[in-house]
Amino acid sequence: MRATCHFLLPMSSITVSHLVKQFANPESGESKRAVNDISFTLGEHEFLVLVGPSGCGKTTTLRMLAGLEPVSSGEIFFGEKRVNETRPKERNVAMVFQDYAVFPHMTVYENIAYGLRSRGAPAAMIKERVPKAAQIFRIEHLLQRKPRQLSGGERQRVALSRAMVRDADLYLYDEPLANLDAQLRYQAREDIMALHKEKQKPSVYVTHDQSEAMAMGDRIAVMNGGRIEQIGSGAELYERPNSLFVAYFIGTPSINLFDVEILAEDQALFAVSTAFRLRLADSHLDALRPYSGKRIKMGLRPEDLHVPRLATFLVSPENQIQGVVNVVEPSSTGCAVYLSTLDETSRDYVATLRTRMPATYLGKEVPLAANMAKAHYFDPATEKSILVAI
Amino acid sequence: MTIGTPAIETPTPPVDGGKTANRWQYWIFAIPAIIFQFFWGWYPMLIAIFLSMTNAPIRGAITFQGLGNFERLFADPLVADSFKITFIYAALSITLTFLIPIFVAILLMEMPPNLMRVMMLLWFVPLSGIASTIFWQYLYNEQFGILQYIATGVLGMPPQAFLSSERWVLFWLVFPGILMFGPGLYYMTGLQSIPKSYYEAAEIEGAGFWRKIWTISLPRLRPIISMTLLFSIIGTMQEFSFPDLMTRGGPNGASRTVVMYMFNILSNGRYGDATALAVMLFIVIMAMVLVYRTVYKDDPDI
Ligand SMILES: Nc1ncnc2c1ncn2[C@@H]1O[C@H](COP(=O)(O)OP(=O)(O)OP(=O)(O)O)[C@@H](O)[C@H]1O
Ligand SMILES: [Mg+2]
Repeated sequence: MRATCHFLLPMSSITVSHLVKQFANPESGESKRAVNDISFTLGEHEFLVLVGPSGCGKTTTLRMLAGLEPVSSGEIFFGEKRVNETRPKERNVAMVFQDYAVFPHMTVYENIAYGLRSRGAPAAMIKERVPKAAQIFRIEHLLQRKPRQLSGGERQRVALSRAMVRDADLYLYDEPLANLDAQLRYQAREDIMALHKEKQKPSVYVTHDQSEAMAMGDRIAVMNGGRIEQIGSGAELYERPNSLFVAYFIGTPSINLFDVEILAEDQALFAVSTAFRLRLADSHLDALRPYSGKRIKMGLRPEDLHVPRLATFLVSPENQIQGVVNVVEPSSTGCAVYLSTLDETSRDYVATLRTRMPATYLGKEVPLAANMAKAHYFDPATEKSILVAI
Repeated sequence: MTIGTPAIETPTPPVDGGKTANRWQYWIFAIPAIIFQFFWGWYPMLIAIFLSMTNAPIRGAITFQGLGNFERLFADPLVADSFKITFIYAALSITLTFLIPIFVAILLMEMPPNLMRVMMLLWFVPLSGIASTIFWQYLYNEQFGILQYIATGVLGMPPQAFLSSERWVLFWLVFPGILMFGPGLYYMTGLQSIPKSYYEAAEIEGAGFWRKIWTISLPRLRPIISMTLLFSIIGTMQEFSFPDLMTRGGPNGASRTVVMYMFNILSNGRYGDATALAVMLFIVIMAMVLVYRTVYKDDPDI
């Protein structure tokens, strides 16, 4: 009987529509939009990652979802229910705070049990769940300690356990792994994903580490200046960024950007700068033709620059860039080569190669073949992508 | 070749003997405090203990009397009475003026900031002693005081005796402290220093109003509460000026505290007895403080 009722409950998806948060500054009297008209829908089991530079409004968005910050305008729905005025306590969310907010006067055990006790969970359940949650984040040996006796990373894991011990309808994480070392971060990331798989509840995860975002998110929302620039899967954001900002923010090393002029010759288009003259891919011609004779920004991902003899496409002088090698950084998959163009502007750019480059190349001139089919073009005035119609 | 213990190299001490130098510096910093403490604290106390065993004349030769002063005090029923009154006064005053401001402060923190500031002014006004004494004497006046008006006119009770009731005089003496006494301000500062994120985390974790107070506000206020409690004990056990101005110990000695009785003895020229009573009070307060310090443990996690 109860199971049936459960299925009749409204779906626990989350809808955010035209959300705005305006902070008034009492001194100057002016107000500032920390979050400026964002909308998105969060699927029932979806893990959404919010990324963006510091101060772009990620924490503010999470706090509005949790009910800690009143919204200035716009609406938040949990399932069918509008929760704008619902108190945090009644929203049944779990949250990991950016500054942990672990209670210093309680033991780790009491910290983790806090939410269960608040909601009147039976003692047996607390006894069973608290050590389990602590075990998942590898702090079961610290249960009787006070937060004072823990390292920053251990405190963070206490905060994670406290949030995960409960069955919430929405999980919010505000940069929960910021203070862990690479090894632990990787582990904790896996643990969070495993728990998410088990709980299957909508989650919003804030980070400013784009590689973490790419690894964890079903979808990623890139925020900038209080707005969502683009929302989509990691591959989508990487391959079809709709703006210069997203293109630059997603991917390490960052995309190479060149100022070029588009020139038409017969049926072909060329991206021309003092350093190179590249023929545009056929698939881009229609979108770029209106820009012939204009100056635009061209983006080439480091991995789309290849050693000519290893390139998987036809190499000709019309898709090569000459550069002088400044630095070679070996990596697990090959190496990252930092070069600058040969002309007087001597623009720096990066290529990630699948082979090792011997140190003898340092200071030498090398040609690299650009995979023009994967190039990105941006309108310099609006900074929007010319290829992705919005 | 003999196998000996390998020579363990002892670490050489710092060349300038840093430790000794540091000790000197400690003393230099401590000496002013020690001198001060000696001349205004320990020295008068030692003198008092000595004088309590003499006739302690203002001038003339001192005659040693052993424990004679104390014997006389123990035989005096008024001394026992005054201690009893002081204990009741202290207990009443601490429960009423010590606990209530904690909750008032917590409630104030929940109010919108502007309203909070106004209420803070109203509740925790630091009124000057004499002025408020005169003010309260008017309030308690049995014929035209406002409290009498409220009791008879509004609540329809028979005329109240207030300060002239032997039963109730101590309560009415403590009552103004609920409204005036200012540890509330310490609590407010303490509460303001609690990071907001603790309350937010608690709220997310489903804690209601009372649970937040019980699990966050009160534990975080513990050091301040413990300090004010200690000061309240020491202060109320030595209460003198307010009850003296309000009732002169009356009616019938029902509000005569130890210090007030000491003052009476002193006025009668019994200097030795007065000093002995002071020493007795000191011992009692000291014992209470020691018990308190052993019962209360400092929590390093706050
Ligand atoms: N209570 C507040 N009053 C006024 N301005 C605020 C307040 N909280 C945040 N802001 C402003 O809103 C903007 C967004 O802040 P927010 O904390 O959401 O950034 P964030 O994306 O979480 O950054 P970070 O990655 O550094 O944590 C910032 O410019 C910040 O200065
Ligand atoms: Mg933040």
